[in-house]
Amino acid sequence: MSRIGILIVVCMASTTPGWAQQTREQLRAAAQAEKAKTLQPYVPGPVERYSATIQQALLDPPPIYTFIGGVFPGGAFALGPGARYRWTSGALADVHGAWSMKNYKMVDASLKLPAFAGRRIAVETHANWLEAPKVAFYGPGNTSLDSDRTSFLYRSTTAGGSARVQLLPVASVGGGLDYLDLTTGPGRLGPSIEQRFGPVTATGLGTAPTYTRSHAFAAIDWRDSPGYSRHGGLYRVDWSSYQQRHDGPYSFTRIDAELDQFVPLLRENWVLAFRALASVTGTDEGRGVPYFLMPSLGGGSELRGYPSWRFRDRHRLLLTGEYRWTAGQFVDMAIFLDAGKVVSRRRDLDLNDLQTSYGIGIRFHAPAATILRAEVARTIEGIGLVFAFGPSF
Amino acid sequence: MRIMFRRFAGAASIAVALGAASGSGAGPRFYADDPVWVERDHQDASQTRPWEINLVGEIVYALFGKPGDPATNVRAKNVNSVDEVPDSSWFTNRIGRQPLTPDDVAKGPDTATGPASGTWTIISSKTDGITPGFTIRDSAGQVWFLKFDPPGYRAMATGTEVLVTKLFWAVGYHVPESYIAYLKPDELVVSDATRFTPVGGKPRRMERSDVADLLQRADREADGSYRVIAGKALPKIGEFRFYGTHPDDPNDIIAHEHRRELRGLRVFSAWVNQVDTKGKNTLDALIMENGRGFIRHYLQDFSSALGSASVRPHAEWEGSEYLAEPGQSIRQVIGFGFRFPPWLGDQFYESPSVGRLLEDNSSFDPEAWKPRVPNPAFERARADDKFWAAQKLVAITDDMLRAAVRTGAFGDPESEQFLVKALGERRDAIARAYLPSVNPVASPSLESDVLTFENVAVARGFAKPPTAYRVAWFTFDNATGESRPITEATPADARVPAPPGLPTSAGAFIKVEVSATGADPSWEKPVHVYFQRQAERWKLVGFERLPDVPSDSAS
Repeated sequence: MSRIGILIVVCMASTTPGWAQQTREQLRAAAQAEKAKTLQPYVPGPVERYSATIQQALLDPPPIYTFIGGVFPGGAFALGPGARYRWTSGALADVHGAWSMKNYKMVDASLKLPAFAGRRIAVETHANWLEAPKVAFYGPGNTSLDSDRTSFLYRSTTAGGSARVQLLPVASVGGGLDYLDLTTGPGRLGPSIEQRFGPVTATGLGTAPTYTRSHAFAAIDWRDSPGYSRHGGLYRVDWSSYQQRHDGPYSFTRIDAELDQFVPLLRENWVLAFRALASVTGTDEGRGVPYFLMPSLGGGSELRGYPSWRFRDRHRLLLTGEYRWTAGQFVDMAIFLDAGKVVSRRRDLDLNDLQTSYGIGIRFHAPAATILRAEVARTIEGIGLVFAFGPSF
Repeated sequence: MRIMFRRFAGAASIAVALGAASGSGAGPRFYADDPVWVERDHQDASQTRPWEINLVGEIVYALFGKPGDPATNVRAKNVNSVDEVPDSSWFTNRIGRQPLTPDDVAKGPDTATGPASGTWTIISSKTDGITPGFTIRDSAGQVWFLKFDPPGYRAMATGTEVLVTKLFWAVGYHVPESYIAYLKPDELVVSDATRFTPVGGKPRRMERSDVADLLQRADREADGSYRVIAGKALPKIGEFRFYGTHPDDPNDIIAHEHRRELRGLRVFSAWVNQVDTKGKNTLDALIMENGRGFIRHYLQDFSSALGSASVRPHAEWEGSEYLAEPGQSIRQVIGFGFRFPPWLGDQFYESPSVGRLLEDNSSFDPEAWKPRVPNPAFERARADDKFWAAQKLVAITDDMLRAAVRTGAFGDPESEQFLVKALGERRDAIARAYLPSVNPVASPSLESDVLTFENVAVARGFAKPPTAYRVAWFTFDNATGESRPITEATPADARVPAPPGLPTSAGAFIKVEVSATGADPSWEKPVHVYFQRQAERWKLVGFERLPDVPSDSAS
């Protein structure tokens, strides 16, 4: 029994039969006086301490931090040091490096300026160096074989800037200019690319082109949030022009079009989510698209279950359908079907001979962001697992 | 969590002594000043150090931990000897004990008319929570806290906040003064000393552009002004949790989860659909009087009540589910989305000024209602706690509801009419659920040798009269707690002549057990009524609706 409990019992016992002189008010006063002797300041417990640390990190990110994520498709999980500086609302300077489990390395710097013109215009510049020594190549086309897997080294240095103009709350346009210095070489996982493919099946094999890339986009986006949506849609077209310096043979243009639609049913207990994604490239006569810049399928969100870069060619088509259901306020489940193809001729970009995958997944999310996505997908080549820190689309 | 708001070690012993009067045999059952109607804070709390609850920590612990006393079915420890909540720094008996008019309810805690017009100087900005807000000093020097409606939802958050503030004041809680006012940007100035912390940034001097950015998240009037809820500043020192006691407040000696007014808050919160009842939405103020300080405990932030979720209308699930329910999530995963939650079939009233609230509240089930996160005091509410709250609730008349709703100035007659109807229907549904669920005998009196009492459930029309009552009379020894039967009767109504042979000496006690047959089985459990003989009359000194039968406690 506590000291206060003892005190009360003693008070009661010692005053018998004089209870009538006792009052509850006196007992209350005695109990409060006893507590006054043992006052102590609040000391947070472990749950509160950890929560406060996480909350502080989210609301006021430290200037020195640990980068966690991916550096390049197929590179696996990466970690590295980072530094950032925010000097006003919407302004951010960031430098970080990362080293992945597959020995991919990356250094990235960006400078995001505060939006202006009534927050309608945003400008940022960036520079990036990447070395990926085990990028997969299976040969071009939709019928490439899993057994033909090779790898190559991909090294890039990129510098440039971009601007985005928010025309309406749901409509934006933008564009930018980049300098790209690319190097490729023998891969370090399994057979190297040059051991199985030549310049005909791997356009640009052994080259190290330098590009000036100009790009522009237009988008209508009325999703709840790019990171997590239950209704709305995204309709976006991107145009890019890769001009090889010194009039090299690998200049090309690329157009990507994406249509995403989210249809909530039964008060968002169900969501039917659809995506159509098409990419086409174009070249002048006598020029080609290097294999390492071709549109591709495979990886964590495009033809899931297949490894990253499983299919590459000049053009691609991807169709995705998901049935998502709510399993909790922060948990969704999804059954999905992906179907897509890559082709060398634009006229072959039809619904015939699509590669498919299907599967089921769980997503943990915040109101506007997908925190973790875990999926298992089945393809004709086997079963693939996906772990990602963002939405499938 | 350990130290903060830990369970005060001697709480059980204290409760026995301080008013619960459950009879431990360690002392007299009743004291000379029973029943106590005002609890005083005897110790000077002016040295209490400021503290703050961590929002994320509170939510995580509430969702996945088990805060508070592990014992269940524990009788509220702060009730007085007649099973009522005394006035205190936590609660003031108003409705049902004081005569209140609709005008009183509409006035609520207000002592002024809101911020003085003229220049308003921003002295700080809100950095927590999800709604934009400023703290300003008005032209008269008074400090106010301002919050806004989200764009497109004029009056939803501000009107709801004022309305619920008035209702919670009427039922007895301490609430801040809140007024609807209009902020004119050209009369707003930023103090040179005002600091602002942008999201992800460092604190710095607040700029005019920061104000403009914050106002972009607020609904704007046609004349360019902004409708705000202006809360009068209180001398805040911290917030309170719904469990444990604060280790630095000498007057806080009863675990909060065992305070009846906090348990009963579940009923009032269900009534107004206040799903955001958590420690972070409370306020402890250090009140100085005559050179001594004590901490008064306030409820605040009611903009997530009724149909408003503060920055948006309530989602359909709110009020029906906790933010996280692992068991239900597993069933949903396995069910492939075909295990439909009960709220899926509900129809909702939706409007910009109200948000989203159940359309038909006549079949509202208060037992099924849930706040966003479990509340330790709510979890421990027993039938007698809910009865206590329901009894207060039925004293709120439709005229009072109309008066309270008018203070929200929703500017939408149809929505205001809906709110009056919804609040009335929910009140009645709560009364239907909680008044008959326990023996509803109340207000016993022994005068002129006649015992009278009221059957609250029957008197309010929420239950049919029982076939008969059973009234058993006992002598009672206040020193030992022993009682000896005298006689019993089975009257058909709530009026019984006292039997001959009752003690006549001043100070003598008797006990009367009253139960009912031919109605809800819970009515067969008697209420225990205690009278003490005064010079010329019998004084009610004790009343117990449900005995204290706690389960095994881990402590």
